[in-house]
Amino acid sequence: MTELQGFGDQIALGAFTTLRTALTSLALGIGVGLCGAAAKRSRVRIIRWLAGCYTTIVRGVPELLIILILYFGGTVALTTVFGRYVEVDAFAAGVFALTIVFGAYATEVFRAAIQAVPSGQIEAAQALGLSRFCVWCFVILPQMWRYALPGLGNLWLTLLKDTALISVVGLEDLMRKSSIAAGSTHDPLTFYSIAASLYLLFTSVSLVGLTWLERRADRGVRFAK
Amino acid sequence: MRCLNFLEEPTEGEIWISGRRVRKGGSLAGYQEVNALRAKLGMVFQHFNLWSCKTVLENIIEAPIHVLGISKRDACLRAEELLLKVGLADKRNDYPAHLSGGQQQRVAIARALAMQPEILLFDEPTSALDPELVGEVLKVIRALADEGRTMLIVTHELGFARQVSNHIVFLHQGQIEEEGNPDQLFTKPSSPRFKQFLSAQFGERGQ
Repeated sequence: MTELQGFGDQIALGAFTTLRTALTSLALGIGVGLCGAAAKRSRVRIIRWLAGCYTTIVRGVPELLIILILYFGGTVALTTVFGRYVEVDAFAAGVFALTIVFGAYATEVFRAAIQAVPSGQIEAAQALGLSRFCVWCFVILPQMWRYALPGLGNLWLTLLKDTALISVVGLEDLMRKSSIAAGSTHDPLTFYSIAASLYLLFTSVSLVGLTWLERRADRGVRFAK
Repeated sequence: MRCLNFLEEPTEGEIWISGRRVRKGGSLAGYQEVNALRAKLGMVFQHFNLWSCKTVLENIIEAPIHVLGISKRDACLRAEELLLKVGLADKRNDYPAHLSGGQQQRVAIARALAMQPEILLFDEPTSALDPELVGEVLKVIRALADEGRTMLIVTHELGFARQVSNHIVFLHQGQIEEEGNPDQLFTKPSSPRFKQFLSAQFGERGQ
């Protein structure tokens, strides 16, 4: 194969964009998920209700539709605000949409994980006079990871693959680059296979990392009763 | 007991601690006030409730550092002393899951002591333990009583209660059935319920 008929660089660039989009969305999405989970446990009813609406809507609508609505909706909104046509950057729009989607699912994963932290340990922290913030940082968060990691790992794999959807709004990711290459070389099988193997490579490496993280999170509890 | 440090919100009644009224009737205590109160009341739970993600030492130093604001070095030094006191100095870097129930409960006592509380609350400290592990925990509590610490203990260990306490309250279905100093209570019980309870506990052994 002669440098993939000149498309090797393009594919590599696309793969890099895919990783960059996924990782950025992951970091932001975890933040959104944590806030969402905290909101769902809030004592204020309106906050709980808002968080409920968010997860219900986002989890109930196809990701592709969310991406399209946010992209075109964002363009319209920004154009109205600035009074002239503003084109939304595909990367920003993609990251934003994926963060919203990932955050909604992560909210539920974190909520379940927080509930799995033994309530006695939270009570013990309260009884010692630790503030709510300290209880979160020292008792809930470190333990929650252990319960959240398997679910979060699943979400990460989905997120990594969902980046392919962003190609519909013009993000030059792995999917779009391979599709362009496939079209201009009339050799779709080769390029789509390469794209598939790259996605598989990324997810496989992720799985190794996840196993390591889970083992680390189990520290101190692995021989528990 | 859980109402004393507001783990449960009391619905009525008054709470007096060290001659100060902490709470009366339905008025809600403020969050800051509750936390300050909790820092003065050390609590030991039936199920230990050690933080499983932290080592023995970390379990003990966490609250002194973040609530009392002492340095990590000082907290560690004090924790080591306390571990020595409860006989677990060699376990400082173990995780709670690797300790027996009795050892975990002794760590929990050290954790409560690290806050230098005015009063220690024990909520059935030996009820979740294997019978052969009860002794080691009671020994630690007895040593604390000998130091003259103020302690409030909920227990079914009548013999232990008699030896270690200077005031006993016998509760039945949320009501005070009998109250007084231990000798008087155990030798001349007046409440039929308490007599019945005593004979059920000590009857076959003839006390």
